[in-house]
Amino acid sequence: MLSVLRRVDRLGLTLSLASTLTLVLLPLVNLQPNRILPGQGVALSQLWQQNSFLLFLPLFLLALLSATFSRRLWPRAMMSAAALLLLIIALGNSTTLLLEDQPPFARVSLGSGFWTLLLLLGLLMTDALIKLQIAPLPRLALVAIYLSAIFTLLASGLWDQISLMLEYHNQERFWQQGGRHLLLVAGSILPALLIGVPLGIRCHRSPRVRAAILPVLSLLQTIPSLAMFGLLMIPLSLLATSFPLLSEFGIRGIGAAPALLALFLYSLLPIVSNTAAGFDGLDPAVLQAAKGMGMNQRQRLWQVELPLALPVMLSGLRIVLTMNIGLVAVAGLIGGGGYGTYIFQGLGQTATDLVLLGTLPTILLAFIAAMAIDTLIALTQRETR
Amino acid sequence: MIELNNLTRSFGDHKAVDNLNLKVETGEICALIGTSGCGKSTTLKMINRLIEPSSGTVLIDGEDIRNQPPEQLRRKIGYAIQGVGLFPHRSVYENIATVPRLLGWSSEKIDARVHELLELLKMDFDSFAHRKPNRLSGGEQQRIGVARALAANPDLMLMDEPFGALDPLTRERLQLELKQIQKLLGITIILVTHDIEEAIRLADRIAVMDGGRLLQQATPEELLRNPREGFVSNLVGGEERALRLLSLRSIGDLMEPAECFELNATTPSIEASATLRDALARQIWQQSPVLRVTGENGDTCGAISMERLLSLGQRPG
Repeated sequence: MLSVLRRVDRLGLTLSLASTLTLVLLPLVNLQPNRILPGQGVALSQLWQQNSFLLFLPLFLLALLSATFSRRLWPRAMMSAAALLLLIIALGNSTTLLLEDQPPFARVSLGSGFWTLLLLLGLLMTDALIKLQIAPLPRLALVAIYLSAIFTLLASGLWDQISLMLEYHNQERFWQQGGRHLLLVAGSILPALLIGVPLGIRCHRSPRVRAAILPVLSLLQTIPSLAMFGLLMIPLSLLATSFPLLSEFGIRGIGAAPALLALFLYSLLPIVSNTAAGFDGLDPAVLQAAKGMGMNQRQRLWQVELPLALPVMLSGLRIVLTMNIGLVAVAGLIGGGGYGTYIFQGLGQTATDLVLLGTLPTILLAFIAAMAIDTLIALTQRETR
Repeated sequence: MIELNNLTRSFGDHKAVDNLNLKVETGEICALIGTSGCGKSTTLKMINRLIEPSSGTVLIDGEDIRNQPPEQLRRKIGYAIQGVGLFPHRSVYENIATVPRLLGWSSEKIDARVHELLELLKMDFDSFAHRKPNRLSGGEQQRIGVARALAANPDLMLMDEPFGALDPLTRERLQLELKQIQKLLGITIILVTHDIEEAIRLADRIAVMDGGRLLQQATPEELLRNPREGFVSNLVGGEERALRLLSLRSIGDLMEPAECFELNATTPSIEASATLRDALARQIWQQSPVLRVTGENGDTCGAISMERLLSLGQRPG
């Protein structure tokens, strides 16, 4: 008995207990009378006899058991991943039955039980994936394969009866908004890189420049995003009214211009400070050797300093990318476009699933961006090690 | 020949190097020795213009080094430092190829040179060339550091405490290898060190510095026999000088004829190429007042007695 207890994985046990409680107590889906009114929770007790749940439940149990008692990581990762996929399938299949004798505007939306399970199973997978210590590129590939499996399920129409997907089908411009979201992120980060990296190098070389620049950038960082948008609206709309030509190019008080400018300003601090930190951390012996062998300043910069400072600089880029993907959503409020548009429309209409249609892709984009940069950092660090 | 003429470098009011004059002959190893902060590294860096002198000149083969841009000058001078400073993101091969690439050598020429250098440093090309520096031991890294400094066939190599961070055994082995390589290539080396043993072991000429000034320059033997009072004589060590003197000479030069002693089969032997210090150590260890001296082929070519060693290590005068 003791030996069994000793073999118990504490994190696995905690997550398993939490998952079980969630599955039993919280509603997996809600049955709403229409798009806006809150509905009634539907728990597992009303769903479990359905065929698709008969497939999900045993696998779910297996996943929890292996998370708790097994030290073998691959089964843990695979089974929790498979359990989540089966849950998605089971919920999709059950919607038709749930809606069978409901009025035409009734909807099935995802309940708190589903979101909590998504989180808990996600934690189990991440934990196993981290402990497996897979090389960076295969890890990225695994995540990509898993995400595309989920997307294939969604694209197959399995969830088309679920409120979130109904909202998706109502939005013709969903993918364009995604493109615009990314465009705003790139449009603010690229100029920030072009200006921030040289500025960071200047900060590294001159303590006076550093003392002048970094506090200003830190101050900018403390301005809340909505306040920043507001602050920028005034000068930009003044500019636009005094020079009508500018507004032809989209420089107006609302819309993309203040959003881009604000995001650009926010991006500067992480890029500048991480560039400076990356250069500060270079081994003086390496720099002295480079100089003593006759490399000129440009050769030292491109062949030695930049490649060696790159991992730290990339971790600055990671901060900026995830931060800006989130902030672009806020820019939806001032008409900047992107997924934030859905969030604010949804809030206005009290349509929770429209809010989710804006939130989920934003989170997913930030997650993918962070993963991609992590992979790059791991690859560049392996280069230098 | 390298000539440092009235070389001075001030940092603010502080004179790091004060009116230094030094000549280093071609093909010599010259050790600049002193405590930290004595100006030896500053002096070295003025030779490849990492630091510009406040006044005075440096001539290499009669030509003022200021006549050419610093980068061009440095590419002609080998440079090896403490901490090595290998580029961690580049392989051993690429590290060695650094200066040849800066000089625009063809890839065939570079390839041949890297092979040649690794062979010279007794490192197997296939197992080392494509490793990253972090996969090497400290001694291997320093070897690659030397190979990199030698890559473009410099006539002069500057070394700033190159072996400072190594364990004593590795250090001694690398010092011997460096000496062999230097004799083989006939290059001039100026070496900064704070280790008098290292200076004695390697250098043809030792320049002792303190407080930015050159106190004495002499051959190791002269320095040990007649050190100037004060700093220099402290540096070369009071009583230990005897052992250091013995370590300067090889047995072959001073051995006695074998016939003067009754050597038998149990008499311990020592190679003629070993130093007198090694001989004394072996005599004490083996409790044998006489050693048989053997040549390269193992034949007895002489003998050396403790009596003779004692007289050779005596205080001069």
